[in-house]
Amino acid sequence: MSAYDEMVLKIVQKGKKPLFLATAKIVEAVQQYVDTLSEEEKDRELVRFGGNPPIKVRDFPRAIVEDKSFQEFWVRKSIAYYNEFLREKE
Amino acid sequence: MKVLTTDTSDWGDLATQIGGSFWQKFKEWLDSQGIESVFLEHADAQRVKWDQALAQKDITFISHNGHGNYTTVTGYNEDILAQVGNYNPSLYQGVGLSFLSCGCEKELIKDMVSKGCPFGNGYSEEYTFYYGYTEPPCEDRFAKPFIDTHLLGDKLMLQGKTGAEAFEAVNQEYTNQAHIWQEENADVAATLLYDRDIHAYDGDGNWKPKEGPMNEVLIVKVYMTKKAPPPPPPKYDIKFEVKEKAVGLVTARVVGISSGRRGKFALGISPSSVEFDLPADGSTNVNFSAWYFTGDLEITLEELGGITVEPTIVPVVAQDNGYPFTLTFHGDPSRGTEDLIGYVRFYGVAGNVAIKIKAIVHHKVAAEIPIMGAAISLNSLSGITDVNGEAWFRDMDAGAYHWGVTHPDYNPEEGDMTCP
Repeated sequence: MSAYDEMVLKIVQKGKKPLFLATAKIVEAVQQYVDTLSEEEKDRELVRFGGNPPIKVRDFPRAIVEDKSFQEFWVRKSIAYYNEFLREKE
Repeated sequence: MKVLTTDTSDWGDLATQIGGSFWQKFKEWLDSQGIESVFLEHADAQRVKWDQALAQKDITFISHNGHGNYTTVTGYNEDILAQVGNYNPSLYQGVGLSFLSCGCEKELIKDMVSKGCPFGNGYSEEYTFYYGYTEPPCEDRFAKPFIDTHLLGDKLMLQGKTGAEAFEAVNQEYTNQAHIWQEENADVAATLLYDRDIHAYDGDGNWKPKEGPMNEVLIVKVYMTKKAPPPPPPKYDIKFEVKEKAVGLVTARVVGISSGRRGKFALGISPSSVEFDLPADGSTNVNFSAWYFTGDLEITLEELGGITVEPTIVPVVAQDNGYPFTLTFHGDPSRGTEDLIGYVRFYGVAGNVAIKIKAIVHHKVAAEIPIMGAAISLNSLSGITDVNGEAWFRDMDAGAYHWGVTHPDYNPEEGDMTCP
């Protein structure tokens, strides 16, 4: 299982339990994933058409703390990924 | 058939610089297909020329990329092209549209469709994509699966597909691209799936751009723009800017000229909107930050029923990271459970500058307030909430997880969630 898959599972948590994760837990999971990346990968950027500046991959954990909409984006993205790729593996 | 399309780049903004490159390529595609178009490039991608093009009555489809939010879509340098309450609906009668802009499907496109636009395609939240700094950007292998996928829908509609057919094809392509990227870069894959999930359309799914001239439309020539001549300034020459910034900040600036003395007053408030639970017989604290301004802020509530706030005057001091303060909102014991949508108004007395931010208040009687951070199972709600009152839900049949205050398909009669 990839580091990304593990991160998603930490965020979405497995199956039957209620899904509550504090921001700190999400940040921790994302930080662990980011730490597995190369410097080049960490320098890639997410760009948005909402007037907000781009975010480098290395800054994802900080952005999750500072920007609630980015946290929600991350959680929803993890759910989409879980439903598409990981649910059947569970 | 004639298309209005744009390249809103060339003002130092990365997102539209990338998007503009793709729309230049899209313009080449239109030409190759023999599709007539009005192409507003760079500084021409602004409100006056946009409205002028639509007023010619021969545009049947708009393909646009620019920054946006729930209520607004912008062009070059964030010039407002259309905004809820600030556009001419008659210009959009019979005109289908597709915006690659953050969030504007949620309110603006819905509003346009409710006023005669037949079909609108867009995104309900912030559209996000990866970029790998390849030049030209339209050849960037990270950006292509995102933006080319969006443009696929515009091309399909211009080739005769209905809005719904194009929409489904785009969503399928987002999924296909996610599978292609999953091994190489799972976060690219996840981001593609997120963009797919916030992709939405309003209006008639069977609509498609028609050949030939449009039906006659009523043109109303009066509209508001930033360029409208200002009223005579009896006391102040007022420039008012409202922008959403990275931290969800709204700002306003007033340049005051009084008795020959010039002074500058600016005010920023973050977050740019708030949403919270409020017990009818209790209170909720909400944190804000004020920016740029020094002096007393007067706080008032608008359209929020009997809800009250305190303090009503907050002395603030301008500082680099914003001046933090907390407002306490009190519920209305005479009011039942309902969602209230109104505004919190911040008035800077010294500069005669004011900002209103949207407030969504989930006003509830005490028994219905979710237990923060714990499993809940009440008649009206089942799930698990975080400290903001937002909740996770599990669709027991599909085994899928959802995020939000409520999930439309969730029926508490069919399943329940319990603490581990």
